[in-house]
Amino acid sequence: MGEIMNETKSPNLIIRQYKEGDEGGIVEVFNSIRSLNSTRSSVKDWIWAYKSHPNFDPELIYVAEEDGKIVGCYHAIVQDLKLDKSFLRMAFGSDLAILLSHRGSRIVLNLYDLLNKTLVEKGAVLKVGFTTPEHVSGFYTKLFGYFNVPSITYVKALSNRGFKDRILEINNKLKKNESLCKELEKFNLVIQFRLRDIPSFLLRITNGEIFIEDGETNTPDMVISGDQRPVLTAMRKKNRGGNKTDLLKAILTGRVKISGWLGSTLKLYKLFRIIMRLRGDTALRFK
Amino acid sequence: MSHIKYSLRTFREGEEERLAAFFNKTYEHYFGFVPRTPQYWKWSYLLRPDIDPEGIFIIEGIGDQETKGYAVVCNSGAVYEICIHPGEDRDIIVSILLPKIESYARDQGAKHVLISVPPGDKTLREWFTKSEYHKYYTYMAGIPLNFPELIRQIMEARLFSGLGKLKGKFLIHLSKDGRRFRSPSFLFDELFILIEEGKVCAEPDVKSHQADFTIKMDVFTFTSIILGTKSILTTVLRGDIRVTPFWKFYKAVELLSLMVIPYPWYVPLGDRR
Repeated sequence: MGEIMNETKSPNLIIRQYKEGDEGGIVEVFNSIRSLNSTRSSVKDWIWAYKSHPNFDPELIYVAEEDGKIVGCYHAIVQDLKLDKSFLRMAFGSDLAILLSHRGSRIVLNLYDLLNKTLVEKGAVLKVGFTTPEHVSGFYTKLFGYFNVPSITYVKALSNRGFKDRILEINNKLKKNESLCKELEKFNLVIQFRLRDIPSFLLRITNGEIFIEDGETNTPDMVISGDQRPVLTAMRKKNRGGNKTDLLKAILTGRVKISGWLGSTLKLYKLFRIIMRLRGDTALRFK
Repeated sequence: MSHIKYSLRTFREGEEERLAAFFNKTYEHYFGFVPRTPQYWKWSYLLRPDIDPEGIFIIEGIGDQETKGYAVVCNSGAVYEICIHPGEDRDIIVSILLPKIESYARDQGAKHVLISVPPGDKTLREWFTKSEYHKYYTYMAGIPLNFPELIRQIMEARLFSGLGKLKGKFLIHLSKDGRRFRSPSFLFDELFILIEEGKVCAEPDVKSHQADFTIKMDVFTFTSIILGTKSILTTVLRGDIRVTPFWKFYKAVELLSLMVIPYPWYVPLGDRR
C-alpha cells in the first residue's frame, strides 16, 4: 500500500491510498456533503467512474481515514491527450471531498500533496479539474496557483423542477432569517409563469413562505409570459452567466410580458430584491 | 426538403469503433478532450449507469450510410457528447438532432438540457440563440504538475510549427512574482527556458547563457499563454512581458506565438468527472 502521512491536527487520522472495500465509505463522504436536492451517488456509480475506467489506477485515489472511518478523498485519472503529433500526459483530478466536520484540519492539503506527488511519478505534466466558480477564485487560484480554462455550456429548461429546487432553497434560507421573514409575512402574491417550453406554474408567497405549484390559476396577481431565457438568466448568479439587463431588454422589446396591477408589480420588485439578498448575489447593490 | 438526405436512428451494437473514429476526426483541431478509443467510448457511454443506448442518436446520409453526426444524451438531460461533421448541411443536421435531444430529455423527465459545445461552433451557437438556450458558465481549472517537463513536451510538439526553424538563442526568464503556492510544480523561484536551434531546455540553471534576447514574465502568465487560455495581445497590452533588449520585442512576440498550443480547448461533458 502507498504512503501514509499525517500532518493534520488529528493524531488518529491517516492519509493512504485506496484499498478494496473503501467504495462504500467514499460514497458516504460524497453524499454527506451534497445538498439535499442533489442526486445521490451510489457504489455502482463510483465503480463505473473509477474501477471500470480503462485507465484505472488504485494508486491515484487517496483517502483520509480516522478511526477506521473515511472522512475525505481525492481521485485522479491519467490520460494521454493528443497534441499535434505527440501526446501530453494529463491528469483529470476529481471528487475531492472532505466531511464538513473535518474541514479546516489540513486534510485537503495532505491529500492534494500526496496525489500530486504520485501523479508526477506517473509522468503527468498537467492536471485539470472541474469545480464551482466560488472555488476557482477563492481556493484553487489563490492557494494552489491554478489557471482558468474558459468553458461554456448551454442550458435550456424543460420543466419547472430547477425553479422548484431553487425556490425551496430560498425558502429554507428565508426561514432562518427573521427580519426578512417578517417583511414577507403580510405579503400575499400569486404569480403565474407561462414560459416557452416549460409547463405553466405558479409562484406563491403567503404567510412568509415562498413556494411553487404546478398548473394554472384563474386569479393570479400577475402573469409573466414569453421567452424563458431572459427570465432564467436574470435568476442566475453573475458568475454562472446571470444577466439582469437581458430581462429588462426582453420586457422592453415584448419578448417577456408582465401583466398585473401596479401594486403587484411593486411587490414583485420587492420580492426580487429579497430573493437576491437571500441568495447572496454580491453583484447586486440592494440593501 | 433536405431532411430527406439524412436519417436519424439510435445506437446499434458494435458501432463504438466507428463513432470513436468520427469523434477524433471531427475534433482533431481541438485540445483538452480524451482521444477516443473504442474501449474508452464503450466505457464512457455504453457502460455508464445513466445512459441508455436509446439515448444515443446517430444521423446518417441516406445514400451512403455515412455518419454525419451523433449525440449521447443521459437520463438527466445532459448531452455528454455531441459531434457534427464539419462539412455541408450542418444547420440541417443540427435542426434534426437538437429537437430529438430535447424530446428525449423531456420523455426522461429531465429538468433541463445541458450541452457543452466547442468555442467557435457558429451553427450550434445560432441554434441555441434561436431555441431559447442560455449560457451557463462551467469552471475548469488547470495546474502544471511538472513545469519544466510540460514546457519541454509542448515545445517539442510545436517544433514543426516553425519554432525549430528560428535561428538564434532565446531565453525566457520566468518568475513567480513573489507569490507562493502549494504545488510541486512551483517549488522554484525562477526558471529559465533556453531555445537554441530547435532545442528546448527548461531548467533553473541556464541563466549563464548569452541569448539574442530575454523575455521576462511571470510563470502563470506564461503557462496561460502557451496553453492558449490567455492571448498574447492582452498580456502585451497589460505590460506583463518585458524584453531585453526592448527593440527585439516584435521578435519576442513572434517566438511566443509559435509556442502557443494553436487549438482551442474543448472538453465534452462526457470527459468531465
